[in-house]
Amino acid sequence: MKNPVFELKDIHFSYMPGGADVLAGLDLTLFEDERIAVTGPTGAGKTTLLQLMVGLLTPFSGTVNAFGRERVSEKDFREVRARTGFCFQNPDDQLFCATVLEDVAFGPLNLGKSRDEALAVSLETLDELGLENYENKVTYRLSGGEKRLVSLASVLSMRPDVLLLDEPSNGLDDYHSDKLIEILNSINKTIVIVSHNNAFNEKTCGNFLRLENGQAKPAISRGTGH
Amino acid sequence: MIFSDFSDRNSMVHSLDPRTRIVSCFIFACAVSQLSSFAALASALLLSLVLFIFSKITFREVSGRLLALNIFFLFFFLSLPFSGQGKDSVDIGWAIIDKEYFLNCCRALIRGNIILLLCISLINTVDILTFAQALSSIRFPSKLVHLMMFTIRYLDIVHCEYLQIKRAVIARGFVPHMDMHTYRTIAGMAASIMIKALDRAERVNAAMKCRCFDGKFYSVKKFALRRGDLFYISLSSLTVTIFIWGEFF
Ligand SMILES: Nc1ncnc2c1ncn2[C@@H]1O[C@H](COP(=O)(O)OP(=O)(O)OP(=O)(O)O)[C@@H](O)[C@H]1O
Ligand SMILES: [Mg+2]
Repeated sequence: MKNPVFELKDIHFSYMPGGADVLAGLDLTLFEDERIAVTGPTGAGKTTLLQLMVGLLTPFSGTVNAFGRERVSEKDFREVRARTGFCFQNPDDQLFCATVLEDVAFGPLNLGKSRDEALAVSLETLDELGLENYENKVTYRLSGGEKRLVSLASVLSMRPDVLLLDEPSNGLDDYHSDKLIEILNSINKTIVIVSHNNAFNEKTCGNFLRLENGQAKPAISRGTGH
Repeated sequence: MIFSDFSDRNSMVHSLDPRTRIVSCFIFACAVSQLSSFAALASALLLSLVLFIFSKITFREVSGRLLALNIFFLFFFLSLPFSGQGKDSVDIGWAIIDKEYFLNCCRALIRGNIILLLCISLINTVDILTFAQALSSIRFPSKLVHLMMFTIRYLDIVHCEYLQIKRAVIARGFVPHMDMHTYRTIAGMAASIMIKALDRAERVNAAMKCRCFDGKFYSVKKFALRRGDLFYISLSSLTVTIFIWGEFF
């Protein structure tokens, strides 16, 4: 049996104290090298779940275990974030540097890589995603799909152990979507994908969860859409 | 982006080290604020125009800013010269103009335009992140650098939200009139801009945390003084010295 990387137990969460629960008694275990696709209706709490996993939100009750330890404080989660790449639903939230290269190198530099190492890993990641010659482009002038790819690159360049991807195939054409599938399948990593795109999920993930009524239930791959 | 529209070009000014640009802009601005003779002011204006032209920015792109500044000065011209009871008053028939105040207004006008042109051609050609990095590399207090960087960044976000909401409102056929519906829509827009900008700022911050941002900016850029910088630095030091010399001795 492989080790669990993330273990969420009986998580309760709502955005407003006393408000409706977004997550109500959610359990989730993510094993090493496991790939889970999470589906669920709009507003079911999928993004919320990912944010709880990296400590951007704190559950009202329940525990979050990551990389073999219970994580509570901001300091605990800093360690988690260094090993977990989280790609946001909206790339505009993620990209803030002037040029693509700076944005992709931001993570590696924060992780303590030297300038040359960071540059090398960034260029390599851009190449992998088919973004050669993008390094000096200005981020806010890219198209929606290009921004999506760059925000993926900015996460992949940190070479994380676990990837959390929120709607990664949104706004990508077939070519880049296939390319992304290929890349995700070639990096043998633990991945959680939140996506409404069933074809994409089936090509990348082995396990399927459906988030509904604040809980996550195993789902079979076909017909998990809504 | 409001702040750095001109950072992605290639020109002689852009090839200067960002630190050179920032420091020289500051020194020039200080020197210009001390100039009072019109000959010196005129030559400084000419120099700032030269810099501006070298930076490959066109007047059309900055006409809004220049106009705003000069309208601001127009109010000085409309008030100050008429308020004085100085010795050199000139009677122009329908009003009495105080010569000294009038000349001071002219000086302020020229100084203002020089400094704006300098800022556009020297500071606006540096993008925000480089600007922040350059400032920290010349030992500017890091707290101030962060404060400035995020202020600029969030101002920009507010601006983007504004554009987005404006588009949304126009796309749904909104035409402003002088009526309650218009006021209500505009009030709603303003509130929504602030709330959305706050939300956005929070998400940007969260995204930075996810990429292990710990309050320190690292840079992939290496700042290096090249021959062009040295040439520019010596030339501009000479210029400033001549100006100051001419002014005080
Ligand atoms: N910052 C917030 N403040 C208050 N409520 C929020 C906030 N973010 C999300 N919600 C609410 O929490 C619920 C879950 O939101 P979440 O973003 O997790 O949904 P989601 O499953 O990711 O949806 P989608 O598929 O549209 O991305 C929604 O009902 C939403 O209205
Ligand atoms: Mg979501």
